[in-house]
Amino acid sequence: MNSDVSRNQSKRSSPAKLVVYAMASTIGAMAAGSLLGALGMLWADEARVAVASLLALVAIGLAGLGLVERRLPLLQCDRETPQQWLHLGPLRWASLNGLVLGCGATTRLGFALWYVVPVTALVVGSPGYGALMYGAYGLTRGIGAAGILIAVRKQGGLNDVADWLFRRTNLAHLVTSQQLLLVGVVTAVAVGI
Amino acid sequence: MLSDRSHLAILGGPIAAGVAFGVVARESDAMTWMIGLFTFSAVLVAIAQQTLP
Repeated sequence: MNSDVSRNQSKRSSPAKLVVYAMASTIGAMAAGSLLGALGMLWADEARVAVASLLALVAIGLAGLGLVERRLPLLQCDRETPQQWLHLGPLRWASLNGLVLGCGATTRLGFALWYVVPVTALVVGSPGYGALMYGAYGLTRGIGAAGILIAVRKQGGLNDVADWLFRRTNLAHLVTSQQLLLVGVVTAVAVGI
Repeated sequence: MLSDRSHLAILGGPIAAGVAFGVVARESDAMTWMIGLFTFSAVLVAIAQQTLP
């Protein structure tokens, strides 16, 4: 094994790496959100309301299917971040991994609710609000990963923590589908469908 | 497998809450309510993604 890789893995949960990871995740997400918000500003208000109305109906449909256990396959890249980034050293790995996972679009999405994040950043049409919403996603994802690594250290094993999380995947599908349905209905009512 | 009543509760809860939330949002400062809802959704999906393999 390459020495950079061993050094990277041996300090897997070093505080500096976790902080850099969480910061990069938040920054990547805020950049994506503000960019989408700026793009949304270019649209006329009527166009944004029309898109929001259409997507509210799509959200209701997707969530309804998810809740009756007829989930459609998601449009997603469904892949991990590149393994070769491990060779770049712990902090560079944490920076790149954080940026990419904070944005999320090129990784495993898993839940239809994810689409709410970029779509609303675009439809709201404000770089500030886009950065706020997407940044909340990136920060939570960054802190979540740090929390898992801390739990692994306290519980003494990655497998136990991973099993505990995997056993809750179905619950996560249920809760995110309910939230997607809520978002769809609220948007539909708010825009006056 | 869930019963029909469970499905009804699982589907009906968010619909009822969504209609109530949507009406309140429309009658007041809709943007603030919607940003709050979307931000909460973003946090929720980021937590859910931690359960993925």
